[in-house]
Amino acid sequence: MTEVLISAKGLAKNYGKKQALKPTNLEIPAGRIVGVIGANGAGKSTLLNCLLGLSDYQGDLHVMGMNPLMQRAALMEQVCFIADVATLPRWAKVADLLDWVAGLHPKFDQAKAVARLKTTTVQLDSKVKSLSKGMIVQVHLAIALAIDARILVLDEPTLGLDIVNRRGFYDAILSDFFDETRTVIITTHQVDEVEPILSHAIFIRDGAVTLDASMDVIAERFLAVDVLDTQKAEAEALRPLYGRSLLGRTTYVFDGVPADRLKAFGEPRRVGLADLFVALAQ
Amino acid sequence: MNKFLTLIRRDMADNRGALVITPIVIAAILLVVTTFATLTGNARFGFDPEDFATQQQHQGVKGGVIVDTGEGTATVKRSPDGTITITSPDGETKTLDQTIDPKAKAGLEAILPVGTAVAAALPLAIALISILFVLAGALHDERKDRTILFWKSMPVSDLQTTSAKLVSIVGIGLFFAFAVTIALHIAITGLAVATIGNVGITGISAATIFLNATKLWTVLAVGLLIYIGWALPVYGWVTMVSAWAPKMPFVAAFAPLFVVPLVYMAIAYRGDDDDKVLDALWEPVGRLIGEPMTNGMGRMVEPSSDHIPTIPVADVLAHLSKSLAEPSFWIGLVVAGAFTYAASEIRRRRAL
Repeated sequence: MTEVLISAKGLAKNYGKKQALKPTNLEIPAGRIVGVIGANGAGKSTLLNCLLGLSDYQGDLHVMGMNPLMQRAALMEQVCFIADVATLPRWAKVADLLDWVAGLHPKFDQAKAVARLKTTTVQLDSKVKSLSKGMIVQVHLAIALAIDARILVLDEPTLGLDIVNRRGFYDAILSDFFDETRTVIITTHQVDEVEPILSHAIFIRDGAVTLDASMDVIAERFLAVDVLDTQKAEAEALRPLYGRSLLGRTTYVFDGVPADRLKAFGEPRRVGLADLFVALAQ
Repeated sequence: MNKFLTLIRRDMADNRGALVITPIVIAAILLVVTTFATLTGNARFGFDPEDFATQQQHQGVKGGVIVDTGEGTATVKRSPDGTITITSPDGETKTLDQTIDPKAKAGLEAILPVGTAVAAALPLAIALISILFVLAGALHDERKDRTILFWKSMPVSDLQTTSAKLVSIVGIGLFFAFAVTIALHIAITGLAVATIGNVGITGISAATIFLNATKLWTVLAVGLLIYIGWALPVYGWVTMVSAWAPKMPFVAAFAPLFVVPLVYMAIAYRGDDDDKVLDALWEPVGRLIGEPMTNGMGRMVEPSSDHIPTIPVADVLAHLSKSLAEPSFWIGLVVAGAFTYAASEIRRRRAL
């Protein structure tokens, strides 16, 4: 049986009267790459902050069997996270940063981080503030990937990066970190870029989880088909989640309608996460 | 322990400008100025611009210093021909030479390191002020620049982080400034000892002067340690406010310490010198200026039983140590611990 790394029951978070995260149940096992997808202010970062013990919460939450809020220090030996590109101390030298992480994290392999940085243009004696965004991400990535953690949490890790750096970032995560014993949780706006590597998706809207499913289930459950105007009435009778008319054809997204029934309108196809998110948001 | 030391190294690097570079720069400036003044012949008792102008015309200098011997004041003067004369409290005037009165000689040997210590204490004095700003920003700035998210990804508790900041900024910051002060004191005193013969004073023992300087350092080191103990609740308070304040943590931390007693004075104070409420309200400020430990303390140079001026190390240390017996000292330490714990709890429960 696959080990469950994250388990939440009734997990919720309020900021004053505003409910940033409505009561949520989650179970995330090892060996998953989970995309947490939602609009700005939907509650993605709130969820991650709770998982990481960065803010208090209501409900029952266990990450690696620990209470994140009460046992954050111990938890961080098993969990590594990159919040965004701007969280490394700008006043620090890269070499000093590696020294400090080596002194603070028992599972940090400094030699591995240095070896990785030597393949980049980052100089160890450079100050972080003198580095470009892409180079800062390389430093952060070198630190994260040199930590022998079970869970890697990435909160908008590639914000502001160019396409080359974004792709390189995710390639490194896949090749140097991920295996069946570890889990990666990613929030990002660039859904199309992470979709090919995700094994699981969680949609959040207005603080509520609207979808929590594996990519296989999503591929089976949600299908899209292009329908001619003459068949629209017939297709709408199957109660599509969403329809979008473009260039004389209407694309409908269906939930739980067998592919065989949809073939009457055209060839059913898998729904991209971005389209599915829009569809579920309607 | 290794984590704690790493946190301290990190905090020292973070605050290198305020805690390390500033004392060194101040000491360097003071040393350069003192050296320049000494080399140009103006580092002497009683310098003023008029004397300087006179000296330029080779007409001599009429500098002077008043020495309190415990029996009255003696005046030390340099005559235009360069000889030094001492006028004792009873009006008797002697020329200073190898046969100098042992009491006057001892007085000079005791006073010289005290005088140079006052000048050399500037780096420490500045550090006592600058650490308040550093401490106020310690837990606030990491939220402001979002680096807290990186540091919280490390397996280090908030209490360790908060304690390390307090230790590095207050403890190491102040004692580093103290070390700089001693180094500067050695340099300035050495300069003074090396050049004092130029103004006609001979027969002064460098060994005695530096022995007296060592006594001063002992007193200052113990005094600094006890001062930190007294001021610790205020430092803890500032740390807690730094963890909480949305902005302007320095103002948020210090405004209440001054505004509350002032408001009380404006509203309820009736000129009673024994107003317990007012005393309590001013206590944090009093602790910050070292009032509880220096209250009633004598001078750094006192006449000994045989009336020879000396630095009464044992008496001063005894007075400083006596303040440790006051319950409010230990209550303050408990309060400091509570504030530090509160700061760590505030940090624990918020991401930004």
